[in-house]
Amino acid sequence: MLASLTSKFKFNKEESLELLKGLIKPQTEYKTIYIDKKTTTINLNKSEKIDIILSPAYYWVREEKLPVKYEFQAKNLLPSIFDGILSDGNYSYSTYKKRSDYAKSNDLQNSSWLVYAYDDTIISNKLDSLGINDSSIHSIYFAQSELESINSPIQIDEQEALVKHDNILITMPLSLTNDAKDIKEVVSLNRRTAHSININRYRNLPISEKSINIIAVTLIAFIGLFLTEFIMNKNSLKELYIESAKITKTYRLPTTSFELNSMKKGLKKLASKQEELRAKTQFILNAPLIKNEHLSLLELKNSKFIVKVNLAEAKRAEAIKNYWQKEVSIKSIKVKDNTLSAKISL
Amino acid sequence: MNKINPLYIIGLLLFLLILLVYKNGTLETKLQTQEIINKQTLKEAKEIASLKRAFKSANRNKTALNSILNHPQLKKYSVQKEVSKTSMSIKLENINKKAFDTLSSKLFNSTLKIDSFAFERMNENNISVEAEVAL
Repeated sequence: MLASLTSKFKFNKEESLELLKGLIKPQTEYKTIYIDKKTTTINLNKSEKIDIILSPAYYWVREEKLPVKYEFQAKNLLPSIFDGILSDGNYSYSTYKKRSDYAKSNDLQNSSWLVYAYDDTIISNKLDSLGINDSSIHSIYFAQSELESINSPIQIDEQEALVKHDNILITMPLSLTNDAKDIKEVVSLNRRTAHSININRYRNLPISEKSINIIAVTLIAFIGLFLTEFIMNKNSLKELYIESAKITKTYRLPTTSFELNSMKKGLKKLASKQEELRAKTQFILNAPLIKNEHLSLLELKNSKFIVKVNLAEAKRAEAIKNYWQKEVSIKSIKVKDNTLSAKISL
Repeated sequence: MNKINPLYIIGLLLFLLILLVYKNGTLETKLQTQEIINKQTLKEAKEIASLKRAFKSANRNKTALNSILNHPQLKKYSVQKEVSKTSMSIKLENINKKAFDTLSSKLFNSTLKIDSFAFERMNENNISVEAEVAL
């Protein structure tokens, strides 16, 4: 596997081992820029992404033996390590185990860690002054992590150089160094490590980070709540649609409301017509007949009643007519030989 | 590095929350409307089903009419029946007043669709009845 990695990415054996350990990143196409306090301009295309190496002027670094195994455990100790050393301000901290001690994962007493403190606001302001947007930055590194493997002095500009003193990179006048390599050449040949840092560029917001976290968590909780309700409502609506379809299928109803209304109207008309027929029949039959009078015929044909009543005397027709007229429409009425014949509309 | 302003994230979360509240409100209105529609549809469906059962069921109407004619008061009379695809006609001659009362009350209290009828008094005691009901 090591051999195949080496051949594929053209790494030497030492680099391949470091790559496997996560100590360095695979070669990237990002341009690397070294920034110190004297840097005033940089040439940068709008769409170009860059890696940034910060000079020792932007961080405090110490080598410490920490009784911890993992980075997250070490991070908890960092504020106390720098307590009393740093001036007032909001600092962020970063650490990693020294490259040479990486293998000593179980040797807690003898593992050395490089611990850093840095002021996000100062770095952020510098990046802003150089016109470097967040979108242009791929990663930010400290000079210590990226250049500590270089043993010879590194020339930063015409006056200063970086040199290693007790494994810590410091800035010195160039005149005091010999055989200094050019910084541009060093960063272009040297591969970036995995020790990039996070800059909190929004530390100076009107509300504190804690408040932002509380607001965000509250909002997320409410979003979760409403999302659950939304999903439940969506399911309930789906069930109601299914129920509606079931009703239509069970009762064999037409699918459109137009057809349904038409069907309902037709059936209701039929029902009311039949109710009317029964009511009018009952009314006609209840005519106020006296002794020796009887209904001889009651017929319903073509929506018309034909009624014949044998009267006691002809003048009784008026009383019966008056009664019927209260509720039914008499089309014609005649009396012949004491027999009243009437046609009544349904 | 933190590339996104946390206030933008808060803004986005707030926007999402407002959107969800709005969407939920719309959905709840839809839900309530659909509940009302379903209740209404069920009520109408039951009403239509009962009306259909009453007026649009040929077999049921035939059975209902035969069941009236099988009443003990009417059983003894001979009934002339004529059945077509859409209707059934019956004719009973010279039935007594008691039988007439039974027949007319059963017929008019049923949900049968009566197309036509004729009640003719034959003499003091007997009545002839003709009726046509829709199937």
